[in-house]
Amino acid sequence: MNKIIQVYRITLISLSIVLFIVILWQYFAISGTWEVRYNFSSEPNLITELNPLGRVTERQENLKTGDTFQIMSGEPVYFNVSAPRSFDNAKVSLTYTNPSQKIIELGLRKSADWIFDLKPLENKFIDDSNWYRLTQDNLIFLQKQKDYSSVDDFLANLPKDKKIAFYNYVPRYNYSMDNYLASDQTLEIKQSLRGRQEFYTYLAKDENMDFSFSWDDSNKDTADTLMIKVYKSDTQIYDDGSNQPENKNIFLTDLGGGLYKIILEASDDVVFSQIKTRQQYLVLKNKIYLAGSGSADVYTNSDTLLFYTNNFNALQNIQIAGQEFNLNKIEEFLKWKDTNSELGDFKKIAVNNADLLMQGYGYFSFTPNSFFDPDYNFDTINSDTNIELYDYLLAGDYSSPIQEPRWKIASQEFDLTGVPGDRKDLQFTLSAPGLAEIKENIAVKEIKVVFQRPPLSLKNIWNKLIAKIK
Amino acid sequence: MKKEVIYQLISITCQILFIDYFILLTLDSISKGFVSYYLNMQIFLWLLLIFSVLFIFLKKKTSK
Repeated sequence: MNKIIQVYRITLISLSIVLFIVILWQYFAISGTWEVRYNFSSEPNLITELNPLGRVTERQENLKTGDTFQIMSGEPVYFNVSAPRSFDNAKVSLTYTNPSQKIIELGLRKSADWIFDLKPLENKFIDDSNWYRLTQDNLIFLQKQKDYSSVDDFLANLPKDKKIAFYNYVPRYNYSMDNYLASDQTLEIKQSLRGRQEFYTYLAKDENMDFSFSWDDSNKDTADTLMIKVYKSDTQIYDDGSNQPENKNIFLTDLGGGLYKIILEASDDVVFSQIKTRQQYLVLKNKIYLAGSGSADVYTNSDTLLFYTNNFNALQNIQIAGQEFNLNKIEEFLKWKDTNSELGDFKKIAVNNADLLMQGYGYFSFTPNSFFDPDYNFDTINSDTNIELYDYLLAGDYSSPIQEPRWKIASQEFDLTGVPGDRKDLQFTLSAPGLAEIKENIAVKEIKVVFQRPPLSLKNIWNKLIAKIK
Repeated sequence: MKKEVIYQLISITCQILFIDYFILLTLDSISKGFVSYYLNMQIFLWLLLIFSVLFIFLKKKTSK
C-alpha cells in the first residue's frame, strides 16, 4: 500500500516539476523563439483585442463555422502584444478576410510619438494585376506594355516621361530641370501658414539660396520655437542652429545646382505670416495648412485632397479645378477626389476663408509659375490610385498573402531595435486607408506573433555576466 | 483498507494541487498573465475545489 502511495506521490511531483520547467522554458525563451497567438474566442491575454471600438466591432462568432473574429470598418486600429522578455525581431501573421480594400499595412510603434513603421500586408493593385510581371530579388515590377526585360534595365534609366507608381520602394534619381535659369525676381508669399512646413525648391549651379521667414507664436502661453533645416538628396547640409523666436533669413552660397528640401520645424502654434525668396520655384509637399482668414488661391497636382478645419468660419464651398466642394463639417477630414481630369493634372484651389488644412498626394504652390513637380511623374501608390493611368508599377519587399479557402494569411517581420522601453510591450497598428468609404469590411480571425532572439546557452549567459561585471 | 488508500491518494493530490496552484498564481501575477496564457487557472481552481471536497468527505468517513 505504501508503495502505491509513494509511486503516486513521486509521479505527481514529477508532473508538477515538468509543468514548471515547460512554463519557465517558454518564459525565458531558452530556444530563442517564442510564439503567441490570439483567435478572439476568449478574453484577451498577451495580445489585446483590436481597438478602438467604433472602428472595430466587439468579438463575434460565426455560429455555422465556429470562427471567432473582429470586424474592422474604420482605420487605423491598434493592438498590443506583451512579451515576457525583450526580443530582437517579431514576425506578425494575420488571418483575415478582405473583399475589396486595396491596401492593408501593418505597423509597429517605434517611438514615443504616434509614429509607426508601416509594412505592407496586402496590396490588391499588385495581386490582381494582369500586367507583365517581373520579379527580382525583393522587387516586383509590373508593366502595362512589355518594354523592359529586367528590373535592372528599368532602374538604370527611369523613364521620366512615363507614369510610374511605386509601392514600398523609394526610387533613387537626381531631379534636374533642363534649361533652368536663375531669376532676379522675388517671390513673396503673404498667405499665412501654420505649423511644420516641408518646402522644395530648385537652384541653378551658381544660384544662392535666399529665403526670409516672418513668424508669430499664436499661443503666447507656451514658448514655441522654429528650427530650419536644409537637405540635398536627403543629406542635411544646413541647420540654423537656433530655435530662438525671431524672424529668420537663410542665405547660402556655393551649394551647387539641384533640388533642395527646406524643413521648418515648428508646432501648430507657429504661424508664418510672410515668406520671401529669390528662388523661382517653391512647392510644399503633401500638406498645406492655411492660417488666418480671407481668401487664398493654391495650386496642386494632387488628384485626391483631404480638407480639415476646426474653425466654424472656415466652413465653405471650395472651388477645385472648376468643381465645387462643400466643406461642411469641422474636426473631420473630408475627401475630394478628381474624377474629371487626367492623372496629376495641375489644378487651382480657391478658398474663401482660410484656416484649414489640406492634404494630398502631391505638391502645392501659391502661384502657377512657382509650381514644379520634383517627383516627375513618379507617384507613391495609395488606396485612391487609379492604376490604369500608370505605365509601370514597382514594389519592394512585398509578398502576397496566402489564400486559404475562407481566409487569407499575411505576415510581416519587424526589427525591434529602436522600440522604446524594454521592448516587452509592443504596439501595432493595422492601416487600411479609405476603408470607411467602402461597404465591405475586414474581418480579423487570428493574430500570431513569433518572436526571435539568440538562444539562451551557457556561453550567452556567461558573456552577459561578463558584460555586466565590466 | 481500500478507503484508506483512496483517502491517501486524494490527500496527496490535494496537497500538490494546492502548492502548484499558489505557485502558478504567484508566477502569473509576476509575469502579467503569462502563466494563464498557457494554463486555464479557472480549471485548476475547480480541480482543487473538487479534490478538497472529496478529501473532506473521505476524511469524515475514515474518521468514523
